Amino acid sequence: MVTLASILTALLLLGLVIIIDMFLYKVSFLSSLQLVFDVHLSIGGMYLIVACLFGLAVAVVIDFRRGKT
Amino acid sequence: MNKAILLFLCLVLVSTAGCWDQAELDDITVVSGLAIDKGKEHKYQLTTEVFNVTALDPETRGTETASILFSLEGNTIAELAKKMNVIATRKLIYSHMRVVVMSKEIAQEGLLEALDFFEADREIRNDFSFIVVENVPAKDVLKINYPIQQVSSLKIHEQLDTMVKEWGGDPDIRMKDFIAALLSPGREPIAAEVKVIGSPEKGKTRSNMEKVEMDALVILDGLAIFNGMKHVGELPIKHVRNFLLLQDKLRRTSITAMCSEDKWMAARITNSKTRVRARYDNDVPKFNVAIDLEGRLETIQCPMEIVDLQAYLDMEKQFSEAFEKEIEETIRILQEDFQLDIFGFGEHMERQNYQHFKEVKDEWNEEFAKADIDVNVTLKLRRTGLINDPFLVEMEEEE
Amino acid sequence: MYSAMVEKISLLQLFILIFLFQIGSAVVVGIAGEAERDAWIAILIATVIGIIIIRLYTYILSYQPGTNLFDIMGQLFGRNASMIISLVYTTYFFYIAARVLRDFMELLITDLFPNTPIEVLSILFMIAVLYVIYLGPEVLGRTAETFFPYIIIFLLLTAIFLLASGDIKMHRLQPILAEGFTPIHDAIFPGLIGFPFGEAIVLTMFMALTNKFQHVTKVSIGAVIATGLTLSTIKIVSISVLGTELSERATFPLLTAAREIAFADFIERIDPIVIFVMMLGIFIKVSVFFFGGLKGLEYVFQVPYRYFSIPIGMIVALFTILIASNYTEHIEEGLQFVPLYLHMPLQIGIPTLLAMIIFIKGKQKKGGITNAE
Repeated sequence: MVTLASILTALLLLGLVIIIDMFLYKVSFLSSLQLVFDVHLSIGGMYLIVACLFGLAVAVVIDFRRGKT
Repeated sequence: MNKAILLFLCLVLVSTAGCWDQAELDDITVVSGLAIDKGKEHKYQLTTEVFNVTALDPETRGTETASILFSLEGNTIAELAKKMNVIATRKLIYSHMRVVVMSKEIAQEGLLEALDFFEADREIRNDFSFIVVENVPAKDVLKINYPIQQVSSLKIHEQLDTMVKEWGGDPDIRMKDFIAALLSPGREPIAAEVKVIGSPEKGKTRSNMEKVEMDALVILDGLAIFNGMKHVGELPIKHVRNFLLLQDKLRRTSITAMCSEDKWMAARITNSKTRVRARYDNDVPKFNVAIDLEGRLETIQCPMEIVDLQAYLDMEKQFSEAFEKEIEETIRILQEDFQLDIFGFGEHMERQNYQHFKEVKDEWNEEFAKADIDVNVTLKLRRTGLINDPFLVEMEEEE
Repeated sequence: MYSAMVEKISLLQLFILIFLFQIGSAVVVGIAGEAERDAWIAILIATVIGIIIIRLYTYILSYQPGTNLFDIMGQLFGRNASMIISLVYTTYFFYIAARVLRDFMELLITDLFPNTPIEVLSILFMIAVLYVIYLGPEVLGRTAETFFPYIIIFLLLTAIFLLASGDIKMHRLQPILAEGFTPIHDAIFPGLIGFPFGEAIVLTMFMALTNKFQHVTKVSIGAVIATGLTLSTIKIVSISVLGTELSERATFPLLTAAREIAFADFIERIDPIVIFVMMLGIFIKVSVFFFGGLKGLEYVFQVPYRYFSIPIGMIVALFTILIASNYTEHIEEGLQFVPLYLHMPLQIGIPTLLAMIIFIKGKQKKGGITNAE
């Protein structure tokens, strides 16, 4: 459940950001998606990816442990 | 066990904080001043004066000078500021800059877009003096050393600071004031102006400091008047204090007046308060400037009996009138010769009569030129020093 | 419900939370820019509106004291519809948390750490936030209570030092109301309402947790008044030190003003004091929005919110970076899109709807009783 929630949240937020960019730059959905991942993410993106993977890993562990009880 | 891990993590966090932004004292050189000249091949030539720390401590000083200059050419000050390592060894730190000197050429051509870098950069603060140099390239100003304060930028900054406090001979301009005046429709910017006397070539070696009469000196020369970003003229020092007075920024000064033919008297002003009333009379802007001064009598060359109250009040009146004339002369020069409102009368009008000002604010300088400005000085001399009557009075009595 | 019983914060902590929350990012970036010199007047007027807004929120909460916004929406709209709306609000809360964090990170990077990657700072900050929230809202309440005196002292010190340095020139505020009320009106609608006053909607999560619910309205209104006065004063200080043009042009006006402090020959260069104030305000704000979003997830997924802290915390850190590629875009978003399309419907629109439904239900109940007699 936790993992599901996290991924859902991430997707929803991503959706919001894409919509906002669509509005600001007046581009289509796909270009906006590309914008987000190309332009917005900067050099330190590696740290973020590690952090998110860590977060997801924790989510999976939590689900696992809760599933047991 | 948990506490140990936590403690370890805290230590790690603290010691790695800022590892990208670390700057050890050993790795930096502090910049004391900047000089901006017109470049030959590029837009600007930037000269930085940096502290030579070993020379500042008498124990480690050899024959080195207290500061060193580096010059580079480029199109933006920002790029040049970080490029200085073409010549210098360490990273340059601009946070403690004391002075920015601009050559007259740069000022006359209005090439002051460089100011944007000073405003935006996080290292550069608003505490440096802003100066135009009259007769030599800007970088020559930084070459000239001085025995009591060996680093040129520090000397100039301290000199300006003291001058403001003691006589009002420096307009106390900082970058923020300059830009605010630039943007304000009711005021034109100014900057301090300096001049180099003597030879900069001789002034840059230690030998300059080894003489009783120095080879080269940087002296204050009044203020530089700007129309927008362009430098258009100068006002000699005697007017600078009137300028400060009209802005209610004067701290202390000395004024002189004639008490009789070829004989002068001087008073020391210790407190001043200026109030400006602005209004419109038909289409003519009218200003009433009320100046209240407080001070003491310093010297009088006439044999006047100071203890006589009537004579004393007459003397005060003579001072007031003479000073009024001086101030009105300063204003007149700006109105007739330059047609530029450097005093900020426009800002007073903006505050007191906004509607009318709004209509004319794009041509305020012309309005200022035709304005009717009335100056009223009230001087109160509280004390006369350690003596009651000057010795000249006794001499007269003996005759 | 289940968790609301266990966690409690005191009324004083609620006051402090609301106050620090609302001044939190408003002191970092400037507000009410459209009103220029009269921005302080705009803020004071907006405070009155802020009071109305917060009264609206406490009214909604009074429908079922002790529960939060999501539970109430569940009651009124039915489980399925409210799940969707809750997800909308959750996304909104996390988005604003990321925005607010981005504001502060931009400040840190501009002034203190120009060479450090922004991601590292964001992740470190979020670790602190998620840990505090994981421990529970009481911990946040206590943290706020502990740091509150320092914030007040530092703000006061900044103002006093500026006075002592002679940098405050009240005449820069003149002419007052030169252009009339139009610029003030422009500043208030929709800007000032959404930020910072409307954001109190997320504070409804905390209002439920106090031990004496009947005083919540008074405390909240008091906090809003305190906020309005403080922000207005800070704006006055900022304009009187920098002048209108520079105050509008500076990215972080209070910081630029504080950099002018220089007196007694050694009280100068005290940027960190101002940054400390900002950091605490931002911390409270991000924590509150984060908590609000987590509560939303708790409502939708029926899982205690604690478990979500770490994964969602990392995701918020990620989005702090993803929301904008540069500062200009970030500000543009904040001025063009956010107030109109996010703040208005979610802070005013839906709550008003809720309030009307509650009001009607209340009337029906009374009507029902009289009918039965």
